[in-house]
Amino acid sequence: MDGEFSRFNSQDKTNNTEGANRSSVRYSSQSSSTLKGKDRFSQAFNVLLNYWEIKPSQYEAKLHELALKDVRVVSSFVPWAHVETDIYHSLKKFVRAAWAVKLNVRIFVMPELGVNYPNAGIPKDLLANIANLAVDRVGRVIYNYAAPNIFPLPSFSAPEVLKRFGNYLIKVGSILGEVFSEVGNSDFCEIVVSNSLFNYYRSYSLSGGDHGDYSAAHVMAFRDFLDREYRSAQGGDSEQFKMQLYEGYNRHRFFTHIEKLLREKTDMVFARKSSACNVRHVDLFNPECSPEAAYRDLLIELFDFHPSVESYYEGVIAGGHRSETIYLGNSGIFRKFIDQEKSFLILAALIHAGEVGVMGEELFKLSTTFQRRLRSLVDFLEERKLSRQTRVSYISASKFSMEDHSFQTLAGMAPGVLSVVGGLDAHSKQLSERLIFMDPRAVVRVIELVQLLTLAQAGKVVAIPAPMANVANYTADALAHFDKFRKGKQPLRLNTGIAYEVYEYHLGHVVFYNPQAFWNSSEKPDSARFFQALLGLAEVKSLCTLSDQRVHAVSYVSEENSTQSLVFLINPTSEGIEVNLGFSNPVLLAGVPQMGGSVEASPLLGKSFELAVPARGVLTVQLSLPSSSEVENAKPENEAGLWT
Amino acid sequence: MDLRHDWKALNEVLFEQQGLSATGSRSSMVLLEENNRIVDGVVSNGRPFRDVGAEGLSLHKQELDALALKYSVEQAVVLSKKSFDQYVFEAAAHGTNFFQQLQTLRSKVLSDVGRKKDGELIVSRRHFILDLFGKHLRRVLPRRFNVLLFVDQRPHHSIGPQASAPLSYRAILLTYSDGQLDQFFEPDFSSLHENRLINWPQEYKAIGQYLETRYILPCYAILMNEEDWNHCLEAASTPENKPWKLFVRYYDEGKAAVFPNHWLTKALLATQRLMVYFGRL
Repeated sequence: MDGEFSRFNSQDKTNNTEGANRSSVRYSSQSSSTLKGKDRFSQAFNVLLNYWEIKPSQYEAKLHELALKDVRVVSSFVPWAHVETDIYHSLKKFVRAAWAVKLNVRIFVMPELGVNYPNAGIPKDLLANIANLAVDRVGRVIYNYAAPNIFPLPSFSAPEVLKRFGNYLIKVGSILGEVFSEVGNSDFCEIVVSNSLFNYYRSYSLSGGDHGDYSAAHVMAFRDFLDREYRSAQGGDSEQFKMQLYEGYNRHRFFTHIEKLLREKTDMVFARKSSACNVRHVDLFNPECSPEAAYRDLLIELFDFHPSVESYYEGVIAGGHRSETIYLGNSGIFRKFIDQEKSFLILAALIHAGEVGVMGEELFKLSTTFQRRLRSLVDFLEERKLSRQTRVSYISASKFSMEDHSFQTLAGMAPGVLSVVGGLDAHSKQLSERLIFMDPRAVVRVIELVQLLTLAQAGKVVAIPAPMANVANYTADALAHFDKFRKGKQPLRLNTGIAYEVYEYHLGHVVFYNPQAFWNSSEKPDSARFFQALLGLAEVKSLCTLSDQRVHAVSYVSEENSTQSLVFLINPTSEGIEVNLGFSNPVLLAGVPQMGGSVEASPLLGKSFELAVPARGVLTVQLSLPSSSEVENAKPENEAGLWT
Repeated sequence: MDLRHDWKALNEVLFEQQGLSATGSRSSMVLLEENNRIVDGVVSNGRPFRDVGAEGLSLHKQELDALALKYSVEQAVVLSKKSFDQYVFEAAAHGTNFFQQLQTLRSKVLSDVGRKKDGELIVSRRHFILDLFGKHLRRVLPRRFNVLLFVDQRPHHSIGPQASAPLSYRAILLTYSDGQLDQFFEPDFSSLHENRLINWPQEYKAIGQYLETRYILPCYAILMNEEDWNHCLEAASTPENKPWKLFVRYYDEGKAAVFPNHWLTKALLATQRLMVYFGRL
């Protein structure tokens, strides 16, 4: 048993790759839950309860309270150290109590920062051994600065940590197994496997490119990984990809790989017959534990300052970019916000990420009006089948290793519709997706090239870095496949600052672009026109323009009718903002029932609208394309109206 | 229930009702500087800090004042990131006790900026209960002891044996060791008859004795109603800062209880009464 978690070695990888292929688990935050009787609200909201803070004798009463508030699924983290020392069998009693009050239960088994348990649940003795600690790019131990306390992060590559973690998971599995055999059912329970500490392996001031754990244990596993990855490539050129030049890229692929491996091993525990239950994979992010917020939040605690809503909101946006579920705990600085600010952040997190984890006590403390609005919003999205649109996917080695210039340019040109995906394995097909952009610093292997071409076949525009003359960025077999693909084809060759070739390929397009300019760190390439052309080819258009950059727009589009959409105008500032919302063509704009919009008002037709977005508020408007008769009948004075 | 450092409960019981610095004391801005360049900053009024990268602020007071003006704060202080990092590592040695970690950091930062006497910059997490047991009575109390703070959340008229409202309370047990807050957690009343808690104005002695037996440490207890507790917190946040004056009044009216009710307690209460009396004169 211990051996399963002892090392990330080649043997493990082979076995688990096979296992992963057999597994139906999807590595995406958007994977659907299989809990029975689940409603959209339960999917969007992880209503959290810290069971270890409550006496076991009160579990049923507390859960019953939640059930009376129409909660159908209760979620809870499991503090690792608590399971190891729990003489009261609290977890077992908690799950059994959930069954007794007919609530479904969602158990987050991975260690998560910000959980109100000393060291966020990580056993204290593990942190006493320096060999178990995660180290950043420059060799410093990585610390968590946020509540519930300051502590060094353990490395998931350290054998002792892995072994102990494996034993912990097995214990959780056996506890749940006991409950399942007692009640004769496991459908009411769902295990959530998250990315755990992998989001936080970076010290403040280091860039995303330096993200990751560089501890000694990691270095050894990394060497093994390199040997394995490039040994399998055909031809004798693979050794060159182990050179210093490619280290950053290889490191990030390795980080993605070990995160995936840990998830697979966790899956295996809950796939056993005795403890088998639904397993769901999400990426979870706590904005206040983000490395960027480390000093800021600690200083706020230290001086008892009021935290900044705008800064917190920026963390929410970053998590949304990476398609992560936002966890808003109440032991850190989130507790310092006033109710109006908390409501705003919960709503904004829901809109940006589509899924939020929030403490039940915190959620139900907020006004009933707000709770009603939340439910009606979720119901409205459900009823109209509205979903967040990812039009552009940026594929990089990990979620933190995007080439800065290309990512910033694309993010600026396609705001709100761009998503970052760490590796093609993590990429899930989405109907709304139009453009897939492969990071210019990627080393293209044949498996990736084939996967990308398959995506183009299905009707997407796929931009792939072309082989470079000076620096090798294709493995020999990938290069052979590339030549084979090009053979006999007549592409459209263009140069708009970046040279590229466009191939029509079945239902979609393949774009091979010259990535040379992005490898030169000293000069910023003139790539704006190239990205504009890519977005044009993929027909990715900005839905609307806003006159004030302080207001953020997020759109949800109907899965059934793409002309119907919902736009959220989010104002994180402390002052109300009058903003001009502009469209290239006339649209019909209407309010949303019970969400602050005036439902009685008839839709307004126009290309430009003056709207007042309240301070720390979200204005929601429905958009639809008018029929030709509606456009003809429209009076000119309707074209610009004040709509609030 | 083996949570010995329950940061959330500590904040909920002791600090939840306290106003934040943005509304109370002087507004401030704290900046972190590394290699003569600002790497991060926070503003007490909750405005986001947008001037990361500003250079030479610690050398030019005028520029620092201009920045303070820009963020509408009265003062700005620059800390060295290198020193701050060192303090953080030292504070981390306190293990899982976030309260002590923050206290250590505060004292180090205070001595670093040389403003210990002013006391204006730091809107520290001072609390009259923590001050009493951690500072004022430190010399006369045992080396290790527990303090129970029990806040009854029922309305005044519902307290007592004939209570109609169900029992609802917040409680925290503070363990002091050598004058330092060592542990803080919700006490385990599972072996105590619920009627004792329901009728705490009469049963406070039994509650205190139960905790002494349960945790094998001397216990001091303060029990009161939430409404009165909030009034004391409000009084502590005013410039006069006289929460104990109110507490003595509630105690005399039988609305608050103290355990143990021995000579020390009586002496303290008597002193407080005298102070109130002479204060009136």
